[in-house]
Amino acid sequence: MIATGALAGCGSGAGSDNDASANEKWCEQFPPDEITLVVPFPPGGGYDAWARLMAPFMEEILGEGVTVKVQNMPGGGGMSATNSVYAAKPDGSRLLFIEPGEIISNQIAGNVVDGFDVTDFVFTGGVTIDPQVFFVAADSDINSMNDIRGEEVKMGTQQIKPQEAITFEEMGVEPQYILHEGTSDVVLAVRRGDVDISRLSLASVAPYIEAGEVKAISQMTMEDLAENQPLAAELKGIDNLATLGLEKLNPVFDYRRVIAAPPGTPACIADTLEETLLEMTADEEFVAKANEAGLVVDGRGSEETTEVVKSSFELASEYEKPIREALGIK
Amino acid sequence: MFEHIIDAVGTLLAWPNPLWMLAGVLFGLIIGILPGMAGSVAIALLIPISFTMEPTVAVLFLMAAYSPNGFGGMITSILVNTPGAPENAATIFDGHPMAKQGRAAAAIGAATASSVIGGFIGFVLLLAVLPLAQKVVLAFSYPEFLAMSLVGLSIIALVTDNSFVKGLTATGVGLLIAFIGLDPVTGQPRFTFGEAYLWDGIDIVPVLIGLFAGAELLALFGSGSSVSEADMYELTGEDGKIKRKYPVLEAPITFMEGVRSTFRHWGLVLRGSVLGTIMGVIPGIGGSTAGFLAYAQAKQTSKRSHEFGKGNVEGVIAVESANDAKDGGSLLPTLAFGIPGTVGMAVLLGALIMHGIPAGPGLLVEHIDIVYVLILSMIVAKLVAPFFVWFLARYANQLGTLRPEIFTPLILVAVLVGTYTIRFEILDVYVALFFGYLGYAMRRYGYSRIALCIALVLGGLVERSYVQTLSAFGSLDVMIERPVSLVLVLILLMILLVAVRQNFKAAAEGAAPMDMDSGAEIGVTHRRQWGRILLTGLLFGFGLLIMNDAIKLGGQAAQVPMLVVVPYVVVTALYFLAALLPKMADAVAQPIRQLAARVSRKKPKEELVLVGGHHGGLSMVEEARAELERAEEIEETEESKHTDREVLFRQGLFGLWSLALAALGGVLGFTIAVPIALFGFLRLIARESWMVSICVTAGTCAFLYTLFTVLLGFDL
Repeated sequence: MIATGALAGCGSGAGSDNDASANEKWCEQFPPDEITLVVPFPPGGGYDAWARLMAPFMEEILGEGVTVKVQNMPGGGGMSATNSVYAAKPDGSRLLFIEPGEIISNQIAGNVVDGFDVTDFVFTGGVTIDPQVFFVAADSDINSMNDIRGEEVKMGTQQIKPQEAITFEEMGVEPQYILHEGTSDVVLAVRRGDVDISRLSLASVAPYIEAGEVKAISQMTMEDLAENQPLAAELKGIDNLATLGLEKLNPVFDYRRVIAAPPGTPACIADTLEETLLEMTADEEFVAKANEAGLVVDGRGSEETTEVVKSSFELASEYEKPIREALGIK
Repeated sequence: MFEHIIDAVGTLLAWPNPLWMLAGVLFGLIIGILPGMAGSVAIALLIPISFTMEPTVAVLFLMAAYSPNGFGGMITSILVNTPGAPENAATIFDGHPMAKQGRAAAAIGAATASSVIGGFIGFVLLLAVLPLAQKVVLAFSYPEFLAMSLVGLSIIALVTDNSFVKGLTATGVGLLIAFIGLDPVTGQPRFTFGEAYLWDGIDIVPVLIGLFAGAELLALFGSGSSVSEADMYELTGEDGKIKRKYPVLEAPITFMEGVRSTFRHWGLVLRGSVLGTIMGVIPGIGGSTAGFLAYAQAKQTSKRSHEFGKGNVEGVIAVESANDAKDGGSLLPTLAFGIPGTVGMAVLLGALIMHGIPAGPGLLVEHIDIVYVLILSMIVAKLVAPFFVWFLARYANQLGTLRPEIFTPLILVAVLVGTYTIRFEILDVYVALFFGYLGYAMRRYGYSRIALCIALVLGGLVERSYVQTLSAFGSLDVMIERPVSLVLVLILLMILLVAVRQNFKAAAEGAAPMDMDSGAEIGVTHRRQWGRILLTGLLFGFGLLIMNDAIKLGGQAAQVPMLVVVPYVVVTALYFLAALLPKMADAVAQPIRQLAARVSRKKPKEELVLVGGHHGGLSMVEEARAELERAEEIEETEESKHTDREVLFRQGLFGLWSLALAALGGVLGFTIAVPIALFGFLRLIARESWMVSICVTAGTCAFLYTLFTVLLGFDL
């Protein structure tokens, strides 16, 4: 209990005199010579691509002499990287690039150290929005999420996440989860018909939809997909949260890739980081390069991002019981 | 098709692309040689450089670096007993024994030739089945994965026929380690003892590095002997000429002799290649299974199967042809579905996306030009790499005779730094060290490290596909209801039958028991040995820990682990007891042995056995005793430079020093730790001269710094 209190104290920070003088020093020294952007996945994936794309632009905006280094820290379901930034000095030299839902599901499942709280992070903003899609085999009888209401389904996934557990709870679906090593294994399993349904981000499943191998039966945003999203035109009119009557689930399906700073990062640093992020995502060259690589830029500020994380965490907490049941936690 | 190929050839020849090809191949080889770094790492590291290039050139460059990776890994496997990546794990079984006999160059030659041919066959098969690609990939589902991984596991029964029960124990250790991490039922962490480090399980590569290289180094430094013990040449008495001890056919020595021996085993290469290609096609199986399977089938079909594990070049040929053929196979799912067959392919797809080439199934339709450049670059890289390898191999036989005082610390530094760079996790380094000591103990007391290695590599797949099969199909009946898995199940039964027959035959003929790990020892002894007590106690304790956690965990996630851990705990408890009370254990075992001997008495057979050969017409007990004496003899000759006490002291010193290196590396970073530790070792422990110590340290650090910090941009 004492340890928890101390940790929380470290986290929220800004109260005591000591912290105030430290903050002042960090503010003066910002930006440091080297900023490390920690990616919780191995090199080569989507997160890595984003980080390596952002690094040179951040360097340019932050000014001469600043190096932004990408560090891949896979492991622990993203928690190795998360913990390393959570515990870092809040001087802006160590930042985390993540989808907060990853951390939220770990926290709900109890897979975090005592005293950890995702909402302690200082979220400086988001660079992209990742709509989620439920999909089935191209020749499947299932054509809408409504077809599986009250039914038993085999759900293929990499890891059981709150999003599925909550959706199935709301729709009265009885899922049998079948876990796989990687997203490609999941897609293959759907194709073979070994599982009935799966969920992935639109960006990762779009090529398979385009090739006619799988079909999307619903996308989990509130309205039709934004125009800059892949296959926005083709997927116009398929089910979404609103048509399914699942509006209240919006917060957990609001997937964003965000840059988070350690708890207690002073406003002076957080503000500069937010400005950097917004300037970068508005930069035409950045957007063009991202589009070339199939990445959709959608820059959002600190306030909105923090709000999204908070409401997502609150909603997931409401469903703690079904989530933990799905995970087999007593 | 042909116009595309001609276009691709044009791309490959256009200046300065041949230069990129050479640079890529060289880089890929170096990455491959470094323990712990795989082809996927090579691609990942080069992606930023490739951004400056046209997409087609970038593909050429990346493939040039990816394709020859197995060549590099093979060199490390043979020379230092370390699989550079799990794919090369089976190469060490015979490759390293060959190096020990001073025939490293031949092993490298044979491996190179079979890699080139295997790789080529893989691509030819790829082009042949490309039209059927989707059907082939879709034919494999969970039951097939399960059957396939069980076939892989059953190979343990074939390759460890020294002590069946000890083999099973080692298998148990491997499986239990494989079960650590996220469970395949709910995806929650299990057996992690609260450590975030264990969430994703224990990384295979540090374990393999420790088990094989670490153990080897410990033994070498302890005994003060060089890698290669035997001299393959001898002076013939009368004319004073140097003659080889064994004919070329049985024991090739030079690189070219190795190459020629590959061509003499055409059937073997062909079988290995077909096997490798098929295994590559199936996403999720991984290349390491291909190597194990090829090794087992080679041993089964060889006329000299009793020499496997003791430096039979056939073992190297089979594994390496399968290993490189799988590259062709793994392109199939990548191209047909945009679904990567290996990690390397996954990283490649990522790189393509970054170049604006959507890596989905549309690749084959919209970017066929790039596909052909990709395939052709891989082939050409496999043809270019042998020249570099040949250049290196010229020194390979000499390398084996280096003094251990200099050789062992250098390799240890390279191995530990390599382990660290897998994911910049210092705990990986400690894992490698721990498995180094464990591997040494296993080697000494006759527990098969190969069994552990196979079980560790396949354990996750076995459990996952078992759970998947049950969840998707309700029962295991489906395994004999689906044609492909039925065939696999039949193969599995066949292997098990053959293994049983082989064990009986070996017992009946009183042939020398065949443990892959050299210096193995048979359990006929009355002495109480502290090492044995420690090892068996550790194995037993580990089982108890896992069992305790499994009971607490309960439910489906504990099901398969319980199935393994309960018999494991019983067996290791018995071994632990036997180690504590050796006399009593022997008294119990004696009647059983005599019974076995009476059942299996038969006429002996004359056989040519290269190293440590033994022709026996003895009863099994006598045979076992003779074997023990022989094993002790080997250990004595191995350690003849020093007394037992000295050896123990030297090993303790080496162990402590490596621990210090790891600790220093963790605190100060390896850039600082390596020079301090290396110089300290050379000057204080090895007692080299100031001159030698300074030169070797400076040279090593300059090499490591250039490679890791300057070229690769790593922060050590």
